[in-house]
Amino acid sequence: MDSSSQIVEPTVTHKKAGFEFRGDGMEYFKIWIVNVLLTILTLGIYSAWATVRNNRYFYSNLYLDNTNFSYLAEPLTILKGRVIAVVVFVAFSMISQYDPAYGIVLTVILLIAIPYFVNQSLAFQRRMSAYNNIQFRFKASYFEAFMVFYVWPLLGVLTLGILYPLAMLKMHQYVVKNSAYGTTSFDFNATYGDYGIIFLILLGVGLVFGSIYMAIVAFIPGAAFITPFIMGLVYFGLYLYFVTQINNLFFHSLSLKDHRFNASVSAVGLGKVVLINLLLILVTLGLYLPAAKVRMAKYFCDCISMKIAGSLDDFTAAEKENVSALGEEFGQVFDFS
Amino acid sequence: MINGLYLDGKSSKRHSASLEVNFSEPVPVTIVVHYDDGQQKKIALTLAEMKVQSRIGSTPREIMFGDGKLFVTESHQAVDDLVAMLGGSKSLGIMHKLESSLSMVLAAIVITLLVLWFTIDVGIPTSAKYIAYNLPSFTSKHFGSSLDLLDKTMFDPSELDESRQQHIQKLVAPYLKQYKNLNAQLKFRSSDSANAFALPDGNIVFTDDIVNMVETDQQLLAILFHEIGHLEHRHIMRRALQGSMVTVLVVFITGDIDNLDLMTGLPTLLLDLNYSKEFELEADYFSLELLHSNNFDLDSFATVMQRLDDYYKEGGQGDVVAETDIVDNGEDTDKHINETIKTVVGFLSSHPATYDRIALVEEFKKNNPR
Repeated sequence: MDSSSQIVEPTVTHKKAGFEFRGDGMEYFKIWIVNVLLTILTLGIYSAWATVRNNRYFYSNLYLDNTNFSYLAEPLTILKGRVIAVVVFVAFSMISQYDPAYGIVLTVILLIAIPYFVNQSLAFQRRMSAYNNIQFRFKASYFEAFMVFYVWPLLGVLTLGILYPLAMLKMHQYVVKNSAYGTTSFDFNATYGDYGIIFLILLGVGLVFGSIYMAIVAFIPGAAFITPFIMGLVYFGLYLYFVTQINNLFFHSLSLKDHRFNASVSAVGLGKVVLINLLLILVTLGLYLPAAKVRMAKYFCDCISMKIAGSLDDFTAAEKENVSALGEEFGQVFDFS
Repeated sequence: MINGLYLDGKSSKRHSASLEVNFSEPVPVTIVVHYDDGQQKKIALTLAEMKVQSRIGSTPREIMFGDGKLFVTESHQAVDDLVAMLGGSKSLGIMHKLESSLSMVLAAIVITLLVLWFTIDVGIPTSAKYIAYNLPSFTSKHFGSSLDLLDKTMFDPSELDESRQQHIQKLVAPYLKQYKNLNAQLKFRSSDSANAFALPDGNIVFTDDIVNMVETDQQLLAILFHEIGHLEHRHIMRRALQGSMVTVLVVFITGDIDNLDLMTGLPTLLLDLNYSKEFELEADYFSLELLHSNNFDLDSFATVMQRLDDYYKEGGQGDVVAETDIVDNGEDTDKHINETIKTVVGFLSSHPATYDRIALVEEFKKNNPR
């Protein structure tokens, strides 16, 4: 390059800052087992405190540019939401088992309420997260949530998958563009094509392996017994490819003012982590679960970084507002967030 | 003096700061903020104005004060000492102490496993039973629609002779009358398998196949008594309650309902099936008691169980149509099959194995001689 390019170079300096998870499997195991014990001994009441302690451990050990995140929720807020949600859940499942007809009516009501509760849930999660003592925010309309959860996916199915990448894009836009760090909104600049290519490659590889499979079954009957195993591996591989590509695209497309993100999660890397975790959880009858979560967090953090334009010093906090934990607890109990 | 960082809660800018203590002052704590331009700001605080976060792992310690202001430090011991000296809450560091002690953690593992075992084996069944028997009776017409729904989805009208139906209704009438409080009624329906089950509204459904399969009136009564047993013991309600409780328990342990569906779903399923088997044996026992008190042959129960078992081995379709169907094809009684397979199949079945049920008859005979 000639010297003219140096003239237009912006005055802000860019630096790459990695995410880093400083937790430790053994350390978290101790916190986790004490949480489980107290939760059971208190017939579940302590679960709200346990959740706060778990979340604090993961947020506080998550570092970006040498500063950690914070989790701010109060156990009592969580407890209130949890009590209401559990009462509704128990009533719901009892009535459903008692009389399926009432169950159907209740399910319809729940489906209508889901977009509202997901909005509330995301708002609570964001507001309870802080970085450099500035909280995150989330504010979305019921209409947008309804479109994202029902209409776009339905259109994806009705068009035999052609619009499905668009449904996914809309979902990510909903999550990102309604989020803010303090007063600064996040932005998202992926296109339908970005998502479409990932889906196309997935489809192509799936078709190739599918036809190989058919060929083996048709021409080498003796090898048929091994094919389910191979198909399982192919399926797992495709799943990893899809998850990692979507994840990387998500972070590439994400921005906060002039700050950008980068992610390089790989299918092989993630596959290794998933398999090691699964094996150790099975061998230890579940006791490895907390350490597995730490390993997963470390892996993802190692792969994600932020390209900071200048510094992260000039963000400002938004006005105070109160969001109840009910939405989040509903989301967790009914498993739809 | 404790060194750390200060954040004012309005901007994301970090300032280096220090926390100093002077006990002779009425307001003992001072946070000194050192700005980049060399200026200083002092903020005086009492303990009551500070919210000191409890220690967790080795993560930075946060002290919140004022309206969203924050002091962060890595000097954990100094913060704990400060709170102790100022006469603050002694329970602040208790969780971290529990979590750092190896013996505590080992004790937690052992106690957790014991308590879990007790909760699953005794706690949940007992409390579900208590609740089920003390709930106001729901056996009203409001819940009558569950048979209507099954009629629309699973069943066709019975193809049994009118005279056969009348004969059976006459046979069972005196026994159903004894359980008027349960609103017990017998209904016939046609479906593709031999099945009998009780609905919570009191409707007991026999499919045509099961009626055609029994050889004697006493065998038919043995099945009917089993279903009345489900009603009498409120098994549907109890299973629903126990299912909800198990779900809640699993959520407590895993912390959240997250993506580990297999890790959380499998234990939930196994527990539900185990509870179901206990209910079946309870209903079996109820049936034997009724047969016994009416001076019927107890072997009619064993015979009908064996016939059902043979029926399913021959490939009869065993749809699980309701919570309390009397048989399903998940069970297997071949005594020659490998013990391990038997155990696994046993775990994955909602009903006890037939040889266990027949063994129950023998045991009952021994304990209740004529």
